[in-house]
Amino acid sequence: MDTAQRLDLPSASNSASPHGPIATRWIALLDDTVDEVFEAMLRRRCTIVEEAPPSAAYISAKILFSGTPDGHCVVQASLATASRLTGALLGAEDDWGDKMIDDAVGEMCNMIAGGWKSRLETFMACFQLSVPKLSRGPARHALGHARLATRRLYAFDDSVLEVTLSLN
Amino acid sequence: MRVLIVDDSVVMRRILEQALRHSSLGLREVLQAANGVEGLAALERATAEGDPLDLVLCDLHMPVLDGLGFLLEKQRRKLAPNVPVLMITAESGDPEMLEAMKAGAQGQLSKPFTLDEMERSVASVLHHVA
Repeated sequence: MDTAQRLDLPSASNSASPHGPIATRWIALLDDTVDEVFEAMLRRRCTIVEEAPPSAAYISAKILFSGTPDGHCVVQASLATASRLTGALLGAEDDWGDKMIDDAVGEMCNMIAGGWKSRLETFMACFQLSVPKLSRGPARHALGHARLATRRLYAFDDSVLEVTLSLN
Repeated sequence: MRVLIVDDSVVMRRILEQALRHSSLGLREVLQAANGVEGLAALERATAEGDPLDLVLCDLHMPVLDGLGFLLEKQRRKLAPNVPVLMITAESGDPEMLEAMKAGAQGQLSKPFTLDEMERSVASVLHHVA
């Protein structure tokens, strides 16, 4: 069973399953943040989708939240998507090396986590953000056992970016 | 206008440089530094060469020496006191920004930003200094 469904949260996108008002608001704020990042920095729109095609390898950036609440935000993409993301951020297509791609995914995570936190009411944002930690591997990031967890999928240019928000 | 960009992210340095080049701010040259230590060295060199900078865009959170550390050291050494610093941050309500303003930052640009927003922030800081 998908972990997001066990926690009674929408799995990938516009699920009809009921969820609490706080989770609903936080997910809406996340969507709003991602929308703004795409429009301002990538100069393109993204749409929420239900599924992402599987990939042999992923690159992910993780920012930890320390405080109240604690948790993390993960931005994850296939290597091809991460390369397209880098090109979109820089406004040019090129054979971006690993360092640039890692940097781009890290910056996306930075802007999404920071932007989401900025949208929270002050009393709900008593946590610090870590610097993004990058990793590459064959497995998609698992939702884990957080009190609130959601994975959102954002499609752009035939690619899908995954954003996971987990809060304890 | 000579601008120093201090940011540990190569991607962000390129984005900022491109935004400055596409703006109507009259950019002459962009220098780059990956952290506060390199940023201070670039400021010192520019002053010593007699070709001072007009503006510093500085990330708040960086390894080695962060944005606040850069500001405090710039202040302590009385380095380029007339060169304004615009802080770049991913979190608009970052509590460290208050400390940065006390340490001499002239403004804040929150990511994500459009070209217009960046241009307005830079123009505002330069106008304030003038």
